[in-house]
Amino acid sequence: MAKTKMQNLKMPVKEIKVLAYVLLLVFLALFLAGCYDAKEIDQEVYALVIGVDKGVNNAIRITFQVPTYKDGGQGGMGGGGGDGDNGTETGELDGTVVATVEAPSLIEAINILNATSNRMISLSHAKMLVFSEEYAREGVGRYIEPLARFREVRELMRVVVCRGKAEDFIKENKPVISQNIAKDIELSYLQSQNTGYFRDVFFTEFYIDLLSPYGQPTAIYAGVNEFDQMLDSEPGLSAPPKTYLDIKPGLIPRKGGNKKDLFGTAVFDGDRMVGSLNPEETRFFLMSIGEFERSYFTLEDQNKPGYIYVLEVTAVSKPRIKARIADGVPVIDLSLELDADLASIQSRINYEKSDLIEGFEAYLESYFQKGIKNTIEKTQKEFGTDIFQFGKKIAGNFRTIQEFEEYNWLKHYPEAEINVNVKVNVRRSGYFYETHHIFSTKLE
Amino acid sequence: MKKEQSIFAKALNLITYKKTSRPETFVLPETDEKGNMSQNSNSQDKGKGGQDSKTLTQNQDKQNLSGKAGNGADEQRVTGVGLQKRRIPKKPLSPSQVKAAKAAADSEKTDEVKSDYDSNLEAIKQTFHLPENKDLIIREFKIGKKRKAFLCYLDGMADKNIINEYVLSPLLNMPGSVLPEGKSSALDLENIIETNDVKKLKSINKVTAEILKGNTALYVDGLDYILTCESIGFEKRGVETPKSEAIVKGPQEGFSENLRTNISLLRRIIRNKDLVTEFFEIGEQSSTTVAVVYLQNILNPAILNEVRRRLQSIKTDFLLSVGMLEELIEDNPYSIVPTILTTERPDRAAANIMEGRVAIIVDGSPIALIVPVTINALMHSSEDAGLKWYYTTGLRFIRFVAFATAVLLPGFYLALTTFNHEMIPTDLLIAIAKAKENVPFPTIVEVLLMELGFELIREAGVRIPGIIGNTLGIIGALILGEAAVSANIVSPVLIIIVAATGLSNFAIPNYSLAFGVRVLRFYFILAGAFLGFYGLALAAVLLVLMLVNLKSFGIPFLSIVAPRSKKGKDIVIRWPLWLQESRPDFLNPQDRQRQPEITRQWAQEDPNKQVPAPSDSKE
Repeated sequence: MAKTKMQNLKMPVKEIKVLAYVLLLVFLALFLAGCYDAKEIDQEVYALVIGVDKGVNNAIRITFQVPTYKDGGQGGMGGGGGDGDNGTETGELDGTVVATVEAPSLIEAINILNATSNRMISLSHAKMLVFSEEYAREGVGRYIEPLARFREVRELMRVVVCRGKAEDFIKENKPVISQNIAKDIELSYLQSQNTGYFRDVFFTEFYIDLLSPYGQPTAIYAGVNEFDQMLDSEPGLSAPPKTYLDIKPGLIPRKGGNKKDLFGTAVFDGDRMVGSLNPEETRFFLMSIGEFERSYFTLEDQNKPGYIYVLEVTAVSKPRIKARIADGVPVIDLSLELDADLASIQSRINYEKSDLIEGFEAYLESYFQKGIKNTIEKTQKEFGTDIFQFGKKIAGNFRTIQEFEEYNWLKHYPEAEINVNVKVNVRRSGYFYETHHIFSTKLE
Repeated sequence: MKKEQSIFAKALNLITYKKTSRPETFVLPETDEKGNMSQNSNSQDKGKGGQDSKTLTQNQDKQNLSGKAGNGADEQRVTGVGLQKRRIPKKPLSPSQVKAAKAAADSEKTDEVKSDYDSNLEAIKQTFHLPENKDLIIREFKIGKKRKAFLCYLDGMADKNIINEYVLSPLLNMPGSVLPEGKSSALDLENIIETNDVKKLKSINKVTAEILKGNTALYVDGLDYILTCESIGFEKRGVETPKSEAIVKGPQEGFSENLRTNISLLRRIIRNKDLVTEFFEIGEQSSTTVAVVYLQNILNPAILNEVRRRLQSIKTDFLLSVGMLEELIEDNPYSIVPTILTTERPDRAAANIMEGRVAIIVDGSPIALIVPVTINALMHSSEDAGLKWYYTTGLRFIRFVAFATAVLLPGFYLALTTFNHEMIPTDLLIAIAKAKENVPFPTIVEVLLMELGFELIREAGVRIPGIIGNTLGIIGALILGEAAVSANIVSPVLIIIVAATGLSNFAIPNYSLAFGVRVLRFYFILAGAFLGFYGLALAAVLLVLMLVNLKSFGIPFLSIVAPRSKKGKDIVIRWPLWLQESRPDFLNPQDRQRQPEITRQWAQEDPNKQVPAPSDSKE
């Protein structure tokens, strides 16, 4: 019977039927497995910013900022209005909603908000994780672990420590230039490359540094600027140029624009914040870890006090770091090369001339050398934490990782001897080559 | 034992691998030297591949199988399949076969042309079912007022002027005195009839075939043959510009319905004595002429043999168009993508013939079939050779992008929006979410609605008469899309997706492939909607498996990629013409070299060389 069937070139109907059923079952299984976690875009809301504060009724207070799906054109209502009344009852803020909840854990906080905000909160587009300084100084380790393990969280999220409450900081996170909050946040990080005033810290980097024996983590240091640093001027008083910006975020004398300041670096020892670097130190810090791209430096003229010159400094290459252990003392040689382009010379001394340029370069070299050295010393003495990741180089002096871990580099970091060698090339002089005096009746 | 198998075991048996009863595939024998060509193609039939590795392994398989025969029930069964392949299954005869057999038996009796006027006239009348049939015109007359004669032709198929002037008039004007006496005496008709082609036929069947073509049959009383005179002349469309393959830079002639015209179009491009045209008659009732055109000194004879084999073995009653033939001779008629290239451009057909392919033209269809082809040929356009090489290359990349877009874009969008939200840039994500906020349907419903709507517009556009069609199609699409968005039935992003997909579909140069792509799109929509990117990947693997499995007249459809063969200079990137020195490797043509290594000889010559005008005296 079977043989006659096989002789027929066509498949018998019955077998086709069975085959069809089996295939149907296989595909149904696949398809239903797929349907199980299918989610439409508008079923979810996407938290862009997550803030962590110390709680009052519960362990932590979590703030989420999520964009609303209302028509973009209507969002301008709050934008032009007063500054103070942004905290409406629904938390609506320029096309976003800021919602805060107290919970024992971050994921529980999402749960509570899911239940109350009618849509699932997804962390897959989170761009910023904000800790309040108060909270960061007590240690963030307990609450950062679930973020690393939770698979929704994107590793490109940045870590920010803010002065004051995270909730207040997030409330000031509103786009001023456009209505596009996501773009606004992303572009704000990009300014790290242009100014060097803060380091662009990814969540993964932060988490890896937290666990690594080679160095310690850092975070962006931020604050809310209340615009109260602009003092009224008094007649007849003129301020000398201050070229060293030792300012904490939120205290920059400025007015208008966005109220959030990303300014400086928060330094951690383990999961606890121990201090901060000011923007100037941050630039030296970025130079020594090879993340510095370009920035303007304003320096006081060494030959004419009261006058300044401005340089556009770019990094030529990554720094070369050599580490050895000599007589039990770790020695680190750091050398790097910078390009400095003249942007402005107030004193009209022509430093670009060939007889002056070598001395000028030597002066700049000593300036950057000193700056970097002071920054390293500050981390050694004041904080005792190796945020430069010198441990990665020191580890080369040990045969096994166990030996290195036993040595405990982080503990020995303050004793390390660190030599810094900077080479500066002044290459471009802008549109001018030599400037002249300003002629006036009162010729000097 | 077998009968007691549970249904589950049977089901398992179905999904596990087993030799299927597909027709044996034709494998092109590998040839490296010219001498081996004919030998190999002969040995192919015997089942011994010679040096050919592919055939060899296949045969080894067979031998292994038959060697194991008798080792167990299962193996026996498998062997049975292997052996049975060559056996022609005994089937009851189809009605047409029965009829044909009867007709053959009948014709044996009456086929011979008698030397008697009345019986021949009666035979013709019977064959064409007179007097019911009004198409056959029989003109009876007397030559020189003495001898009875008749001529017959099909009204509308023959040119009456030819019959009047060159057949009838010389016969009627012949004075009776010239006629030889006696009823059965020979008459030198060939020297009287003035048409250029005459045939003496002694079989009624052959005469019938000639009459059906439009020729005129002439019988004079007493002769033992019927003379057929060429008088074909029927209404036909002239040579016009191709409709679906219009190009800017290149010839503007397209094939027409007339087979002879089509072949002449090819001959005008390839003026070569080795261009051979073979005729096949397909269709028991319609007797449609099918021409196979090839270059005898280039084409691999194995391919020709396979084409002949397939064409000759087709048993059907009626062949209307080239599409029907395509389906009948395709390697895999279930395949979504076409494995035969269709073109309505003689220049394209000629270019393919020059590369060592075969053109098959069906009388009555303005389209030629080109075999064998690979997937890249379907992405070429006939303008490719006419443009500068880097323009063409750029256009081809756009076509490949269009292919990918047309197949994947909606599926990709669905995978993104239903599963992998993290892959969308945040700005776009928020924009999509805002747009979708008021749409009550899930994305899959939106996509299917819009895709079906688009297909509807396309299909309706074909039916709407004339000039209104296109306009109505565009307006319909615009208004429908706009209205659907403002009525919150679909989100605006989707209009872009569907429009881009539709547009891309039109950028695919091959009409049949474009249809295949429309089907594949829905396949990927389902895969993306149910399983996201995982589904897309699975579906893509299945698609590639299917493509790899395809063959076009023995040539693997993905040749060059799998199996690898020598890369040509005209696959994706069209290299400059002077670099295209060889014909496609996978076709194994008899002559691989197209041109010497240095094509532009002038580039190596003395630039100041004086060249006289070309003269005929050289010959």
